[in-house]
Amino acid sequence: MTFFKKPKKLLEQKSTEKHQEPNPSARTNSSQNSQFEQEKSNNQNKTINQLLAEIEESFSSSQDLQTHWIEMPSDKSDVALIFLDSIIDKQKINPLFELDKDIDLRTFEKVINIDFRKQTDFTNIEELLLQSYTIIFTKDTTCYYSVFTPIKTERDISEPDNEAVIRGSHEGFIESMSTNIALIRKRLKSQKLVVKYLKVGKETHTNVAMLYMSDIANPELLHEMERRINSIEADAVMTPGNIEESIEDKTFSLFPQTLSTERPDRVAANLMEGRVALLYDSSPTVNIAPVNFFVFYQTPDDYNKRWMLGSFYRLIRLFSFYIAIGLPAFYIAVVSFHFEVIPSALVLLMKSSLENIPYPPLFEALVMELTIELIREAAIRLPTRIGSTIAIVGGLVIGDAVVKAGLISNLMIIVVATTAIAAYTVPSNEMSLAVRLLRFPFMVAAATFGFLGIIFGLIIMFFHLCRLYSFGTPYFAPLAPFRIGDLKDTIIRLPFFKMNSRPEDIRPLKKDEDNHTRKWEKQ
Amino acid sequence: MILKKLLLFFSCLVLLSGCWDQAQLNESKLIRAAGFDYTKDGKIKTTAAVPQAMSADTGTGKVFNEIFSAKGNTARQSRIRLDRKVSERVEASKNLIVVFGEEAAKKDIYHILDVFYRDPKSALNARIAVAKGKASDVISARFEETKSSIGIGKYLSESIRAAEGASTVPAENIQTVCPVMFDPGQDFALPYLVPKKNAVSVNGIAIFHGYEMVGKMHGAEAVVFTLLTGKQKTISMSLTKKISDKHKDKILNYASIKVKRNKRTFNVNVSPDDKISAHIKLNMKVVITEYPGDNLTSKKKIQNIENALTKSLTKDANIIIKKLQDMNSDTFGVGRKLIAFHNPTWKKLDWNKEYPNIDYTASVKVKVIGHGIIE
Repeated sequence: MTFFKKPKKLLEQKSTEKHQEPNPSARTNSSQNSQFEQEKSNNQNKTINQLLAEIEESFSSSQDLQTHWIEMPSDKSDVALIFLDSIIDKQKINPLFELDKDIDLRTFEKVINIDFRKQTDFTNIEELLLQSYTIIFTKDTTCYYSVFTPIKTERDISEPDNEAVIRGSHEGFIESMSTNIALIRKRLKSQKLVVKYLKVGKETHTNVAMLYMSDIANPELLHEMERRINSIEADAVMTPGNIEESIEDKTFSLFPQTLSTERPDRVAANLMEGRVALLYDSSPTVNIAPVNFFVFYQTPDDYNKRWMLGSFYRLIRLFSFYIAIGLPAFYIAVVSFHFEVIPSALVLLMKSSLENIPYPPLFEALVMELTIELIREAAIRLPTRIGSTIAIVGGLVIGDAVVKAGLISNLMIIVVATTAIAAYTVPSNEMSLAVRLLRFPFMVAAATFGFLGIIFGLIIMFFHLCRLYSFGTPYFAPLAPFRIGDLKDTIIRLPFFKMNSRPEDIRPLKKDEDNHTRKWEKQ
Repeated sequence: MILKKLLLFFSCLVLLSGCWDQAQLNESKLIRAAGFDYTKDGKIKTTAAVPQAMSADTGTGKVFNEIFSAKGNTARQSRIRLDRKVSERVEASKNLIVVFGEEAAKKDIYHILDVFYRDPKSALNARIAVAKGKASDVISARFEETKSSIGIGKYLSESIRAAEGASTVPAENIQTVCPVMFDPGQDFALPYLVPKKNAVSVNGIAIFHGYEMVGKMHGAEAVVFTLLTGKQKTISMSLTKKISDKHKDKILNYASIKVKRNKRTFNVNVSPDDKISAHIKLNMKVVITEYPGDNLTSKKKIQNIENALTKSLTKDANIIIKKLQDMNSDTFGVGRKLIAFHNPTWKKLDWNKEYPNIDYTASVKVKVIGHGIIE
């Protein structure tokens, strides 16, 4: 028997004919709503219809909330199924409609062969429905049954586009939190890995999972993290960015204070350092906190290279930070204030390239930098097929036409291009964005005061970095406060067997790793 | 609140001070070579070469030399007047060379150089040279090389650098000359340029005493002069010396050497009766780079060459010292040693009068340490 309270779409099931007419009493429910609300505490008195009406009321008659009636072959009693049509997998409840005569509800579990549970708590029915459960009411209204029937809407596990590596794992997180946790568990097969579920968003009920290593992560940090997440009172928490902004220490800072990543290996490595990972429902992004500045410059690739190469490329990346924020500013300062510093052999060359440019260098630089940002932004929005067109048009316009037209000097192109490339070497997208934005104030400072302006800018930036905290840990560690031991995996990367202690800024419970990583001795 | 006040205070401090010294590269004219002469009525004439790149597209384009000149009562005044003649702001911070006309050099070069020492932006690493005739002629001449690609400043500077490499002139610039110029116990020498028709020749050195040029030396003398300053080693410190008269075939009388190591011992002694004697001893290790006579495998032959070279170079060195004494130019700094080690004696005497009469000799010892790649 199938009963459509608000018929919308026929289920493509053979069972449709098999079942009888709906129980007519169900139709009378809506008029009796007020009465049921008074009696909410006492479910024993309610009929199935009353319960269904109550649920429907709380879902504001949403049309994807569907009810089906089944007559039990064993005792001819009516059983009601209620579920949110849009988020359940109907294949999973199909067997219910094809019951043999001798099977009763107690053997349902065997038939369905999925999470089937008897529940007595009527207060969380709505929540279960929202979590892809199908609720089954029987004539015994003191309890109900819940069947977990989620529809698979996940995509396959693939490598995250913006965090690709050459060597190492090519797995990336997907939009399913349980899969994501599985990916981490796969890497950290330890009973010390703790998953703690939290809920944020009064309406959206976004699931947040807090992962940490119970024997490494500092309890104070965990407490603080939990406190901040639980104190989010918003109705809707739609994206990880919402949570990130609600829990970070300084929102008015360009620098990201949590590390967003889509790589399970990165998360696992950070968990082992005593950091905490936050996973979100339907988001492939995982946030890691607390972080320091240098975490953004590490990539899993570093550890798969020989250590000297890893160190070299890490130094290159850190150097690129200065190029990305300072090169246009330096160029502006040099050509508009301090051309004495240009080497003698170069000065005429630079002068000849600049000679006929009609604008001051700042304007020239701003125009070019903004053009690059425009192209970048357009390339993200455009579908890949058109994206390459943009690259060609942008490349031609930037590379050639502006120079030929005499609007921008050759040198400016070199400077802007180098800067753009340098900004992209940052492994983390957030930091890359921060760095790209930072160079504009530096350019203005350089155009106003020359080198002095750049120095002032750097001083202010380093003040800020030194004052910044991420969940109570210094952001610019291990440079400020200076800890020479922690430099081993920040500015450079020492060989694996040299890394026997965890970074101190996170205040891990266990500073030293239990075993030394290389026990054999050279003979 | 306090933060706001502080912010206001600092922005006032920075923005209201009115110190805005922007100097844009594309709105400046860069002097690459400057020449100074005295006119007949005692004014200073500044000649400046401002190279302009012809094509803006590539840096390798041709360079066109614009020459400006202006007169004034002082060097600075002439600079200011020069600035007025030129469309954009004139900048001397990338100057490569300062050339003095011979007349100007003989008068007093500090009067002109003063402006370079006071300006924080002036190019202190610019070379200084003295030109035969007028400096303006050297600056404004159109030499073969300056026609095509490089500016006159670069051309002159590179010419002098090559000469420095070959040790025909001492390496001096505005900065290095300064302390020596003010030192009563020491003098200096500068490259001496002779403009020819198509090229400029770094022909020798101009010897200075105090602020004034007192004489010059040419060619091979200048090399020995540089050796006597104790210069350690250079790219090529080469000499070709006549070592005998025996051979009929003239070429066989010569040997070319390259100085590999040059060690100078400089002794200044004062006898109890205040007689000053100075002696420079050079220990040279040389490589024979050319000896048409050959047979350099025999030790005796080498010995002979060493002896001949020692003799001939010692003679040269003594001639140079005599010349310097005659010019009253203490370029090697005997006076400096006196100030340092025999101060009471120094205080008593009038160095300008004493110097030409002191007992001042030199000796050179040559040791051959190699003779090229053939046996």
